Amino acid sequence: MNNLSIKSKVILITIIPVFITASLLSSFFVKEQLSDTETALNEKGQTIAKYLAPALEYGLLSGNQSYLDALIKNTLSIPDVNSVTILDANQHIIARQSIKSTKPDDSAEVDSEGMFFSSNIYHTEVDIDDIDDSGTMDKNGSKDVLGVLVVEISRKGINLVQKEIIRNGILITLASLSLTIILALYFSNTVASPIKLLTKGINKIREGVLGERIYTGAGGEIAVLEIGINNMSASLQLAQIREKERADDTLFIEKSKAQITLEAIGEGVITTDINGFVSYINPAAENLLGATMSHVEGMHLHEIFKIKNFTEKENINYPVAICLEEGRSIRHDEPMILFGANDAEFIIRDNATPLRNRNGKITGMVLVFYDYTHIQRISDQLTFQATHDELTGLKNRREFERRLNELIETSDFDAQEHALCFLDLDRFKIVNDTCGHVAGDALLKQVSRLIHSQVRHNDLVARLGGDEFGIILVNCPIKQAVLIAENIKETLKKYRCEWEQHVFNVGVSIGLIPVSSANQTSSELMINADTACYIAKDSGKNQVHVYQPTDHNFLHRHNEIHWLQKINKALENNGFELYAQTIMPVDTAVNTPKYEILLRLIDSEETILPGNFIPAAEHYSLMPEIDRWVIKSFISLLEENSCESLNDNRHIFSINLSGQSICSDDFHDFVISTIELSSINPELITFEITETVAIHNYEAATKMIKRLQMLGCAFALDDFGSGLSSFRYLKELPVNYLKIDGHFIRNIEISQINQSIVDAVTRIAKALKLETIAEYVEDDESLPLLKAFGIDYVQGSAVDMPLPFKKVLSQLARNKS
Amino acid sequence: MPVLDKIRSPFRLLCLLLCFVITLTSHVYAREKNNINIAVVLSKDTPPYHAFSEQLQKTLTATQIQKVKFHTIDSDINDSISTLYVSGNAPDFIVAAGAHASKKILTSDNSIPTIFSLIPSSYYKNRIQNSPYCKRKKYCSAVYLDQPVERQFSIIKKGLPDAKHLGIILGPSSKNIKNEILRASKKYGINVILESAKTDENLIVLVDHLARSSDALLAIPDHDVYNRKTAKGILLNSYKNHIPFVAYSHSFVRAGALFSIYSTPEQIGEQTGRMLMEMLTHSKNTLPEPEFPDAYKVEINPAVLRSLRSRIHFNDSILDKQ
Repeated sequence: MNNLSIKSKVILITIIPVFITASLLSSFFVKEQLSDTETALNEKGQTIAKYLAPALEYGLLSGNQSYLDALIKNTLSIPDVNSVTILDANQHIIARQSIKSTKPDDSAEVDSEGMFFSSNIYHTEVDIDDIDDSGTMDKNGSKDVLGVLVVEISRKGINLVQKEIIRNGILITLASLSLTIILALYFSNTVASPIKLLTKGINKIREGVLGERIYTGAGGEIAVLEIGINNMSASLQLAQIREKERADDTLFIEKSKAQITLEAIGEGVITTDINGFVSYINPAAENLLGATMSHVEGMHLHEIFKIKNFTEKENINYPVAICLEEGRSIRHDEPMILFGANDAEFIIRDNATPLRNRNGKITGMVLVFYDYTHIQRISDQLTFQATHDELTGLKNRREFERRLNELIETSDFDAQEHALCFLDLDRFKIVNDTCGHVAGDALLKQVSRLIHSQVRHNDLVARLGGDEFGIILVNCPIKQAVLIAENIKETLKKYRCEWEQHVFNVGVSIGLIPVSSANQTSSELMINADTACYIAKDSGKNQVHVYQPTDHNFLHRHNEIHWLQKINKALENNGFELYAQTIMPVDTAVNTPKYEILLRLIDSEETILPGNFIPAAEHYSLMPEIDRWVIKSFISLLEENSCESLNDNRHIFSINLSGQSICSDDFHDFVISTIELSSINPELITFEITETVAIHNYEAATKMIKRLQMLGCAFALDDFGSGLSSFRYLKELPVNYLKIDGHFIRNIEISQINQSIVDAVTRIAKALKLETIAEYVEDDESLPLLKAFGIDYVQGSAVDMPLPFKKVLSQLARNKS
Repeated sequence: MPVLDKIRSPFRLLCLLLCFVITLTSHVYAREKNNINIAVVLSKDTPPYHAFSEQLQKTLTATQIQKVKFHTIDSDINDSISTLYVSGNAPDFIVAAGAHASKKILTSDNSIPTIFSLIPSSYYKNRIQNSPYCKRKKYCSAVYLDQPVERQFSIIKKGLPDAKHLGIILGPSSKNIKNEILRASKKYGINVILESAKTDENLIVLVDHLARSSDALLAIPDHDVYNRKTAKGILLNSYKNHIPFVAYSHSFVRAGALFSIYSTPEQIGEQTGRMLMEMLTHSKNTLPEPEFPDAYKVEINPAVLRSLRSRIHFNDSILDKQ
């Protein structure tokens, strides 16, 4: 029912009730008429019988057969009377006639559909006595029955009439139904047609055809609806026009923007049609390709976009099929080389995307590319810098270790054997100290070239740091490696370095170790090679020493390894403890005490001074780790002891930093982020770096000093004077304090030279507005002297002994409270 | 034996003796006193009898000779009369109206002069006149209901002058007047065709047969011939044969007879009253002879007349005599 159309529903709604009503009415009237005819027939039969019976009385009484026959004959002339039968009181037939036989006793012809009506024929009494006193009993007695009249009424006539009635009833029903159907169709059309028009109109609106209007002739509510839809359509049309105008404006603006953007951006943009023919190139592409839009329009992309791959340097066609046929975007992992204007080669990065219409069908592609040449070069340079030593151009330590690991991982040690050399120049420090770093650097460059000249093509030479070099001899048995090492040793032995009228000869100590097992780690190999080198140097320099685990010299070196293990263990298990030693102001009225944070290694309840383990830590590059531990512990202790009250002070805690840490940008970042993330005022902290470290790592030191000073921290130049460096550095290093090397303080009261040096340093420091600290003040006598020199702070056993930092913090907290 | 039976019943014997004494004494007393008690016995409590009774009283009271007191008694004659005696209204005369009342009186024990009225002459002659009741007392008379034969012939002769042959059916009760019929036939020159109706005989056939040979049919009251059941057939047959049927009652003419000659209950009541009045006036000791009604009425059925007029000649003058 719900799927029916309105037209069908209207027809059904109209027809069904009418059909039911017409059927019921017709049935009712037909039934009534049938009943009436039946009743009429009954009444007719009964009337004939009723009125004929008395007339027959005389005939029966008189036995007048002709009288009876005449009456019967007359009766048979009445329509529908089929037969008349007269019986006497004993039920004997007296007379009988039917329409088909006038013989009284002919009973053969009987209408099977006839209806029989009987009536008794009474002997009627007539009152003839005025004064009736003798017939009383007769008068009240029952009537005498003379006989019975049976009248047969044929049903043929009534049957015909009833059939006629039924037929008429059906015809009337059908006629009314037909009329109803015609009317229903008409009315359904009057209802459905406007709705159909409305639906058509709405579909047009849905399809976006808003210019058409619905005919509004339906009248009534539908007309209101039609007008409403027309108004809606008009409003939509107006809105569509406005929207289109707005969209056109927006599109124009966006297109302009896109055009301008395309023309302004540095990336080259090429669009093609579905066949790869160029439809547009922007100015950047014109520049890169060396062609104009008018020149390339309509040309195939392959004709103007000639490329070769970056690695193999082979000419290739740009894979337009990926975009145009497969519908996928193109994004190459590595750059390509484009033959651009004047056959110049550009390194480019590219990506291409298929262009689709609103139906998703591919209509072309857009190729975006940009000149990657400069970036690639910078990248190459950075990559080079990351893997090479800046001074010598050799691989650096990091790359060396990476290649060593790679070799260990990839080598088939059943068929291959490699060797690792660790080289340490002999007497290089003399060149450096005598002629300066420039000379040292020149020497290192020259030595590098010499070493490189002695190794094979596949071997890897790296500068591991300072005057240390490493060589990986690939596919090189230890015997051959020894030969190569010997050649290097001899070459360098023969080499004479000349610098400003100075001639230096440097030698090299070479430690050699075979790389023959996958079980070896790079760090083990490096340590062992270093050990072998150390033994070679220890054995008189200019030696080649092949690593032998059983070598007694190794045992000595093993002592350092022993410290290495303790340091690592302490780093892992917090085996260090911070101490602090007071840096007392000479003029306590002006300055407040400061404290230098010191480090102790706690080993089985034994407190080990840093002089015992720092060399091993420096040798194995563990100082940055130790420095990190110191800074983290320092911050934690301050925070744990709620020393926010100390935040008002400036530069009261001094922390030593190693040269290895200074050179690490990561370490700089670590220090800054650790301080920033803590609740500690950075101005509390003064970092101490030694003069040697600062000078040897001048740029890194300067960089770090500036970054941390911006944070609020101060810097002290420690052990000033120990390196005997030029005061030039002092002028250029942006430090806040100058800690005079203890070597000059320890015997100052008895050494005029020391007094002069201290005095000079103090003056210079004053000139540079640096505060001075005298360390290693071990007797009270030197204090007045130092005060006289204008020293600002003194530190040493004469002033105060180092104490656990926790205890110092407790004291400070008590003092503060 | 009846006397012995009565004797054996002490109560009945006592009543009989009492009635005898009362009858004797009252009869004498009646003629000497001014108050005359008349006991009227009606066959039925119907309008014709009421009309008869009223006309009877009216006739008697109109004379104002003596004070007459009427006592209408029911069918239990003996008890009613005893009651009247006890109440001091012993009846001087009894008037029995109709055959039924007459029949009851005949069975009663009294010696009071009785007039039988509203009964056919044949009935009186056959059943009453010679009954023990009347033989013993000699105080019986009657006023008949039916018309004298001669009168009927006279009227037929006048009313139906063309009727030469008059068919008459006589039954068991009416066969006694055969001679009177024949005399009247001679007197008026009307040929009479008599048929005697036998029991179980089909009267219709008989009438049909008679009608075929008669110019008119005359009905003589006889219950065995003319009754409620036979009347219709007889009338229809006469009509079928297109001959007039002359009857003896208002009901008969209404049922289809051409005309009837009859006396109304009022006429008979008046005649009965006059009969009594004459006795009282003249102090006769015996009742007069039975009488046919003096007054009568000829009533015509106009419809039948219209039907038969083309076939018969009917003289309307007979209707004037009423």
